[in-house]
Amino acid sequence: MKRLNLVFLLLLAVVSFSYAQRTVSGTITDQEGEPLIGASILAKGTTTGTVTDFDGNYALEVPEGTTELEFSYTGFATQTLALGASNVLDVKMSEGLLLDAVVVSATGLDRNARDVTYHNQTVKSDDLLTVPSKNSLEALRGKVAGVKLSTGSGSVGASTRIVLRGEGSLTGDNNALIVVDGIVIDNEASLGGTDADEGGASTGYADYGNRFNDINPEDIESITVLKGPSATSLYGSRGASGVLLITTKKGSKGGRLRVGINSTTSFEQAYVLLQRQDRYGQGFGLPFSETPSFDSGENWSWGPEFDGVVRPWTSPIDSDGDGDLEFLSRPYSAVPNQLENFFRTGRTLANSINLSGGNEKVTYYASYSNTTQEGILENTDYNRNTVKFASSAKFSKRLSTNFSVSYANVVQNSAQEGSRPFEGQNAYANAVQSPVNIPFTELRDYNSPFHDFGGYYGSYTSNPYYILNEFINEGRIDNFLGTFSTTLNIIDGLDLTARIGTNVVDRTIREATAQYAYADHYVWADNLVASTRGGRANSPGFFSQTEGTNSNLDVTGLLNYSRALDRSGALSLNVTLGYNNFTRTTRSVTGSTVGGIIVPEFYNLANSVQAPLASQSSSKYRIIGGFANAQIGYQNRLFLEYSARNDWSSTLQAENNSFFYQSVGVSSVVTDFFENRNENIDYVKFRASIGTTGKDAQLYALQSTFIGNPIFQPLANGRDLTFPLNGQAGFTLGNSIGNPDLKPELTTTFEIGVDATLFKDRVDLAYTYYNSRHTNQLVEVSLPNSSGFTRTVRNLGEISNQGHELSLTIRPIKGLVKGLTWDLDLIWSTNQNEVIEILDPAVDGEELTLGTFGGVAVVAREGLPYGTFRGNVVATTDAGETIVDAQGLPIQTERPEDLGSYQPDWLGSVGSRIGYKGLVLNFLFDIRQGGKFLSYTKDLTEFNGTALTTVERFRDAFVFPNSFTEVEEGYQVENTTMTNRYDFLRVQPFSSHLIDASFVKLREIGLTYNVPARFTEGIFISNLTVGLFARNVMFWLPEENVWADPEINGPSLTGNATGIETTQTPPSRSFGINIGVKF
Amino acid sequence: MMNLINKIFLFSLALFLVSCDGLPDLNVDPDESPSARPQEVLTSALGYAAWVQESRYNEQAFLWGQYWTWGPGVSLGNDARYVAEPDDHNNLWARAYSNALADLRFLTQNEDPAYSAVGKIMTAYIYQGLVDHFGDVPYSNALLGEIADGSVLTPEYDDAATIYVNLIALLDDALTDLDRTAGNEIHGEDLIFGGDLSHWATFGKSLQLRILMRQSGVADVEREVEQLVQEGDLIHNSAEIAQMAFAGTSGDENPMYASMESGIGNFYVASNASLNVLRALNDPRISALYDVAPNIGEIVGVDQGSIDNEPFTAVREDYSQGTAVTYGPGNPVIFMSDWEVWFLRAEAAARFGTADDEATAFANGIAASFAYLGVANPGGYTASLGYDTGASIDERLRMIATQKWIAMNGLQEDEGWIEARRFDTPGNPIFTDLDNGIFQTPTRTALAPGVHPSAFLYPESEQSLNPNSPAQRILTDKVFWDN
Repeated sequence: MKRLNLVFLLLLAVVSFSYAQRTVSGTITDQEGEPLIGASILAKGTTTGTVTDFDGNYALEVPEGTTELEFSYTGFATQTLALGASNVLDVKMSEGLLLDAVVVSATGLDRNARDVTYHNQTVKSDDLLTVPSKNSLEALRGKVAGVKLSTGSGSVGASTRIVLRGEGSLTGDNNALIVVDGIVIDNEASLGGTDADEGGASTGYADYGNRFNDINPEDIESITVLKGPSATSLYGSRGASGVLLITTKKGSKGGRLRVGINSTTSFEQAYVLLQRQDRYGQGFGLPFSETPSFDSGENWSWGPEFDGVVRPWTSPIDSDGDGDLEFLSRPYSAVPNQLENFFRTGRTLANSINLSGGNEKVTYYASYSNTTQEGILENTDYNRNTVKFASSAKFSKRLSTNFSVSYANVVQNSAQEGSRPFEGQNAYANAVQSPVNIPFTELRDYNSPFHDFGGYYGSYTSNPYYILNEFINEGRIDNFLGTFSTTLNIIDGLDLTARIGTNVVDRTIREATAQYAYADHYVWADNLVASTRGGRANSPGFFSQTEGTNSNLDVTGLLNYSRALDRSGALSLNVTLGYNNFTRTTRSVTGSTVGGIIVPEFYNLANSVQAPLASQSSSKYRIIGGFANAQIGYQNRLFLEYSARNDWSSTLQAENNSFFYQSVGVSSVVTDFFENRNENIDYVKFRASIGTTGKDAQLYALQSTFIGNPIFQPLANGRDLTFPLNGQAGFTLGNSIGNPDLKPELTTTFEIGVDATLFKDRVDLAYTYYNSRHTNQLVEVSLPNSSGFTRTVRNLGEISNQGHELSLTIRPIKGLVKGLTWDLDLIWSTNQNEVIEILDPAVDGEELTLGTFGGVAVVAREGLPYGTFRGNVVATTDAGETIVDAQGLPIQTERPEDLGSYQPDWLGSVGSRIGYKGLVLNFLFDIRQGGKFLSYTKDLTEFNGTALTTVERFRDAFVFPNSFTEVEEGYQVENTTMTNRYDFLRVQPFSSHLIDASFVKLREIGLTYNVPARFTEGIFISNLTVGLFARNVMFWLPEENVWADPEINGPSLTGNATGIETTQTPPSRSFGINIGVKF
Repeated sequence: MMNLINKIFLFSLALFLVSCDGLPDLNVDPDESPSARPQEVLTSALGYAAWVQESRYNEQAFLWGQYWTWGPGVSLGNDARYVAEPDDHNNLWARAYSNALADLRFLTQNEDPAYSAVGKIMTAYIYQGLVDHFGDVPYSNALLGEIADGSVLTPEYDDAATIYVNLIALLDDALTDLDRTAGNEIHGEDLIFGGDLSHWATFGKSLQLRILMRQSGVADVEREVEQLVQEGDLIHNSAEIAQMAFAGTSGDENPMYASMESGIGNFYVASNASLNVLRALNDPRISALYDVAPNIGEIVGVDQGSIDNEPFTAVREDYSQGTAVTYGPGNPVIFMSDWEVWFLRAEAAARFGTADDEATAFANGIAASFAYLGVANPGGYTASLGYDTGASIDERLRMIATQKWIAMNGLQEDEGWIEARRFDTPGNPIFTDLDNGIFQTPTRTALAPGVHPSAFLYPESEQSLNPNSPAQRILTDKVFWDN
């Protein structure tokens, strides 16, 4: 019974008993007498241990036979003290060993932080979980330098894009690679919706998240962000955009079973950033008439000025069958908080439990978590269950293994995003464009006769609550990740590690549009004249189901050899040889109804009016790498590292598919070279490295192909035109030109930096300067249709990224007041991105188009940052006056101009943590300066008359100020022609919707109380924490941004034409409470 | 121990070599085919061509040709006000160049002369359409994006008149190819003629006549026209109409119908511009082209572009809409008709004195139109018009233009609009004259009174992606043949 029993079953309690002989107690402090909270005490040779409370006190029942106690604390030297006669043992622990902290290296092996020659930053579990986040990527916001995150939507389970140090690939994937315990996981975003194939730009898309979302944040021990190419030698090509190394919890050797339970409840409220006018209501007027008319069927707010007179706002209907018409009425005025009230209060409940423990030979960790979210949009929810089991075993002195399996099941009901409310799929866009006098709180009852198909007010839209509740956008994800690794110590210093991992993601996406038919309805006009109006769009119903599986197999072999090169041990050598084989297989099958559905609300392919349509896709990708890494150290203070790697990729022709790259780095802990150094300089390390990385092409870019039986014109409401036509199959030449000559892309990065600890551990500083050149860019080029194609992939061009990353932690009052701590974290990074050259004889104009939207192109253009917006602007005379046409309206330039990019000038964050005894207050500000985004919301609301810009000058006719008419080239006369606000806004170039994307966000506030041990004594609780938190508390946006959250972009979530907002669900502000218990 | 290490190395090496081998073989997309048969590519090309013709051209032209006008219930759109946006025609170019013409190019290179001939005829047809709407377009080095074709990714624009000359030659090539065929090479995949190559030859020659006559006001085409008429192998009865049928079921619907029904349906009503002419001529086709207004019980139209002047309470049922012949799921897309060719021949006879009898050709055009619409007694109607070969050429052209425009109503609206632009000249403003012209100026036109669109704008996609594209056009820029 002295040994801990270990059972390989989840959630099976494992209990240990020990016969206590004596109880030893004491206080553990640092050198200055500050108590250390949570330090571990272990009876040496046993599994019995405890931790200190927040006063630094401990009490341990020491088992019989124990002679020594081991004291350990992160960042401090572990001490082993013999037990004497006294039952009191106070310990003063020494710091400084923080510098010997272990980091995870690129090869996936643990490494001493001081010998790493490149910048890396690790965020620990505690910092990730200061305030609960919806997923771990969200939790990284503001915590790492040089990380840019953007979100696809404020809806539940949406995707997050993560880019490290700026985009380096012109049109390739710029998302960081995500590696969990050495295994690359599938992080693909799952998109659905009526137009997912085309990026959802034109009609709508549903976002089922990227798969990193499936990881239980509580299972994460740390996230290490690797940015330079010297850091990515293991992941080679796939790691060229940087790597996020996730280390999951394993269970510690420190003795008894530990149980942790965590429960979080929070409430979310939509944080609507769109501001709208409240002066004019439903109806039409401009540009047709200066005197606006009321029209209760309109989606326009170009109607009469509000007068507060009670008027009907629903269509007249005979709701009770008495032959008379009834309707609802309300004062003709703007509804306060109209858009806020479109949403409901969301709710998140997250519970998790984990068990861990172990001894010298075996450790284990098991967890279960459930997260249930109700989104701010009706009928949107997210339910995630995860289980994880991890174990390590040391079978003999020479053989040890690690084993981990995790499984996540996600069921998500989403809502469609996207820009086209007319097609009736995006409920929020529908709400945005409704007149400002429509009370959504009442429309919510969409079955009411006043709000159903007969009574609903709108002639051109559907009740958004009907869309939310009756349409289906359901994603089910099963995500399995299994890893197994074994290390064989062949001889002293020589280890062979084999690691195999598989990540299988299975998704089922069901989407349905309800079947409905409108009758003609009545609308109210001026003087409350009622008339019928027909022609509302009907839906024959639609259903589709996609079943897809992505399987990833990652096999790694590592041979690691380390030894001292001389007798004194001053020179050390570490050599790693490795092999990696990664294979990704995807397949999916989609079935969809054709011509509508027969039985309403029965969503099954068998319910299709005509034979349902099937489509399938599959792919296979493999990349194989061989690599070597050698490191020589001198007196543990000077290090030289070299690594080389060769990749073979399946996406390139045989003659181009092998690519070799290498890197070299040096680092030195300079403070170790001086015996008598300044006492204010604790530790200084300089590092420098230079290296290259290659990147292979996308799949299937080498060959032009024909597409069998395509949809030749996608149309809404189940009316796609498709082959076979009249029974004849059609094969069309694909729109992409195959390019068999593609070569791998190459990135060369140089970086230097310094890590320092100053003023007796009061300041930690890490600074890095980097400069990357990305050459031989593999670019997907958009082509003019007249070439016969729409795109091709080519090697061309060069991009550079250079920037500075600074992170600074200040502990200004360290040691001043007993028990009071204050950490201030400042993170700042800037990245200058420039497209150096676009080289291809076939492409003129030094410009590539990444995407276009409404006449604004997102381009890569020589001499400008990647992602520059280009579009026509209002034409001006040489003196800067606006040139107008005969109608007095501004005319546009003939050629597009550069209008800034989506690249921010800099990103920063300010975080602070103030602790006193068990109480911790923390907050985090997140700042982005510069960059632009294109707001489709602005376009939409200016069209329908709800934008603030539509009420300038009270909609009176006006002469555009300081404007001239060009009579002939170079000769202008002052313009006196009146124009109206509607026409004026409509002729504005689409580039007028480019908005400053800067923000300051108070991202998190948290107040955590660690309940003193004396309150929990005797109830087996070793630690009890209660926290209150708030996320997205306040946003400060530039004055011109009254439209949307600049961080929510879409629809191409993993693509590069980001910076385009298309009425996505807004973010939410959340408030919650978190309780954590440890046994 | 070293033995073990050796074994491990050898094993790794073996694993490595095995798995590197055949890597490129993985890079074949299992979902797409590296090759295709001409049969399926022909079907594809015709499908896209039909989409361009029916949903892009005709859908715009029923409005600008003043057959239909904007109805009640939907705020007046740009095209009803003669306002154009640069991105209006992105989709048109994508379907025309990247799909239809790219597929046709594959066919023109086929060794089988039947496929290459059909490919060339349809290529000429689509290019003529592009010129007639956009003027100068990429032609001579368009469609050459493939590396094997020289990687021309940003083609230059060719002069519209020069393209016309080339199209005649391309059709000559096609006719030569057809001479080499056995006649049984193509079957059901030919959605227009079911593989009847003699019909293709007739269509090719008729298309030559159309291309020649289109430039009759600006170029000397007399001799070539006379020769074509002399040969006589032109579409001359309903069996030879170049048209593509649709089943009328989902996925296989008339493109205009599918496109409009996928939105909020057909909200267009009869234009008084058309009704006025039909009524003045006492034309019996009026009932074949327009249904009676359900709420009124007779045919009611709206002045072009003036729905906002109608009572606010007006609903669609207060007006007439197109009949099922002009708007329906199973309606064919007509590329070229017998009435069109007869009117071309009447015009050629009037202008050049060809072998045809002018009045007979004119009467045949009207008779073909009546026949297609199922209206009786074309003879009596023609007689009532009193076509006089002795009248002035302007007078005869006015009558041909009017009859041709009526015959295109609801069936070939785009050809009707194009020919209205051509027949209308400063000396003979048949359509645009402010007092006596057929066209009405839309109430909220963005152009001046009596001014109507003469072209489309270049698509924004092409303008932004092709540095060789010329400066953007405006709606009143004329195509080279337009006087």
